[in-house]
Amino acid sequence: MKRNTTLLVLAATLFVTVIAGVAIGPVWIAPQKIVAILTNLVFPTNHTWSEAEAIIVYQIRLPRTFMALLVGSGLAVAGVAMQALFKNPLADPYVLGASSGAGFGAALIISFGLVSAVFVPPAAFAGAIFATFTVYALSMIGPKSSVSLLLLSGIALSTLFSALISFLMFLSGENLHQLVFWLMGGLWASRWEYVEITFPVVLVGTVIVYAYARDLNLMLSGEESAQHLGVAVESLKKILLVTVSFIVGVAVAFCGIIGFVGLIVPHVVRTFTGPDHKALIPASALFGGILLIWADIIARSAIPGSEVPVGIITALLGAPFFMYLVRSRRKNIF
Amino acid sequence: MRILGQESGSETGGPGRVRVDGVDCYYVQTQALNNAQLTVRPGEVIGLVGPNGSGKTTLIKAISGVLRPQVGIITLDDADVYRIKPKRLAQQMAVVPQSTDTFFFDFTVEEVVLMGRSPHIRFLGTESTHDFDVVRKALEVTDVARFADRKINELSGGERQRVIIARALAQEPKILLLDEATSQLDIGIKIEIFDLVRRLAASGIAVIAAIHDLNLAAQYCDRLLLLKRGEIIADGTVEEVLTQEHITEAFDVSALVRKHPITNAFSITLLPQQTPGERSSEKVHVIPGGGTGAPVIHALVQRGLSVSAGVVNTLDTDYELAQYFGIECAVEAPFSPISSEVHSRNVQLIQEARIVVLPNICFGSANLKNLEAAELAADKLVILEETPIESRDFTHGVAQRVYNDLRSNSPVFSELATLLAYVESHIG
Repeated sequence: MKRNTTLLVLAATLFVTVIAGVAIGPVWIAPQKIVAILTNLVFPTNHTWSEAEAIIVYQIRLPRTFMALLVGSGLAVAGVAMQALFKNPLADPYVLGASSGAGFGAALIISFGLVSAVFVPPAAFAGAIFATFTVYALSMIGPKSSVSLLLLSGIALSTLFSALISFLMFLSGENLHQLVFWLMGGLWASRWEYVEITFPVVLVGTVIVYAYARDLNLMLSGEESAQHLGVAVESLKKILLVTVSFIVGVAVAFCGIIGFVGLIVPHVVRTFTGPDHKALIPASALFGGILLIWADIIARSAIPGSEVPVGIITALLGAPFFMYLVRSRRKNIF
Repeated sequence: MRILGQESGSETGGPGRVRVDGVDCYYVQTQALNNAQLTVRPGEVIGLVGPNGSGKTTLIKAISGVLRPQVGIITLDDADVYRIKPKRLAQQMAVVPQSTDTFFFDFTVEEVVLMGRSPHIRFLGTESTHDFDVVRKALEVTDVARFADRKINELSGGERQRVIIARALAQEPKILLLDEATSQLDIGIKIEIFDLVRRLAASGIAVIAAIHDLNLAAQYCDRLLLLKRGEIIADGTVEEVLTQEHITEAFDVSALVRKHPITNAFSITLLPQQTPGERSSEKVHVIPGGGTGAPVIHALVQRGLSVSAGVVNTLDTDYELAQYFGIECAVEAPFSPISSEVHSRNVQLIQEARIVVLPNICFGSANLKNLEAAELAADKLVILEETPIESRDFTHGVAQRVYNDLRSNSPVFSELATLLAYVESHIG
């Protein structure tokens, strides 16, 4: 499939998915009503819907669907960047301890009972960036960072932060439930304020990663080869690590830890775009959004009257699918 | 001749002159390069030779900007290569590494070669038709155009290496660094690639190549640097660098260095260590000729036997080998008939020997006396006959008659191994 056709198909699918994300739920809202409600925001028309329906669409499902879209896109793009940067098919946005760093920052705030859009995101950013740069510093050998040290340090730091998060949960008492639920990853708390913060972070992050698409292609032939072809390897690493930290920080801050999206989406998308990052990055952004919106639809419809954290859904669906992918396409993946 | 000329693509000026000045490199604590000194002129093909771990790759890495020297400076047109932006450096210098890892994800050959254009493409820019033209030329020159659409990881090692060379050429560099780029390739492809290297040099590109194979280095380089344990122990023309003394010093082995009589190319044969210890008290005499005796002499010496030889001509391989092993010889001037003086010396050696070996040599009027000497060996004579005498006789049947006479009275072997077994069982 030609690159533009692929992107067009994905964009159309995303549009349908967004409508579905708003339509499906405990109360079904017909797509034409959704379109009418949204059109009404710009061109007021006759009400063909109830006030309750308007509130469900506008105040609940739309911000939630947008959050799923943004977080899914962001994690997928971050995953693409990490896999290329570390030349490792197992790399994902969380591999460098960014997620558990962000998780710890956010958990610290939540365990003090300060659940708000004002405090949690900065704490999560701070945690993500602190973790990423600690890992980066630990991996330095002379003027260069070693990829295997980077991954090992990432695992060590993740474990440390996970232990600290568990410790906070142990201490948190009445905030425990909230903390546990948040860590499992979910989109139920989504509000327009969250979207307003997440949107620019993910958009700018994706644009930055896309700007380095050519360099990421070169990185796939090895760090030294990339440098011989003119890539400033260490500064590329720093720029992308900061970018990924921001994306992960904002995602974790609002939605907890949603696993597997950043790992699988790049692999799935590569099977139809090939490894060229100029196609892979935009396609992954679209596909990541589609995937997380559907996962969230399942999360809120699977058990009537209740809601499963979306992180559980992505892992439940993602892990077996990933195993299938690894077995059936092992030659193309590795 | 211009292959991928520099008529375009070199936004940066300067002729591409590399200087390495007093460079020391370390890997953590181990010194890998000590006070390296080198100036590279455009159009020059410089070979780095030396044993493993001698610093060839280190020097390439230091020049290519990936291993910063602790002491000293490396400049490209008077600018420190470690201060030049990687992208600018990549417009001038291309590197083909030792072995290419498989690509992490599968690109096509054309996509890989197109990567070579990236130093010339602005940030956020896209490839121009000129870039595609350069890529097409690079694909053709390296003979990989026919699998341009194949996946890089599906290719054989040799094909993949040529693709990487094509990518380096697509950079339109002024300096091309090859780090044992052909060491894993078949001999035919090696030759193809180095023929290409010569053409590139003729178009003004400087080439610095770490080469494992001394013969290949001798054949294709204008200048050689011989390294040993991080030091450049010789720097000069092939003749100046590839001497027996230098090779012995660098590789701790002995070598025969000579010019090939037809191609005039240098030929280096590395010899095993001289066998130490006692030589046999009884001698074996070899009657060599035109290099045919060399393998026999070599094998006998290896088995700890005392060997003498004659008559040999100076400049002959047989002579060089005899000199190298320090064995007794009856020696005649090059291309001269055997004088009676030398002949009697030879006869004396034959009389002293326990066994006399007549290898598969050719006979002409100049060495007929050797056949006479063989006759004198009588029952001590053994014959190695790998090809029939008819094909080796240039004396209109004279040699043949004598030879057939000898043949009927002596043991004849068609293989060196069986002859050696015979000799060993008959000598104390």
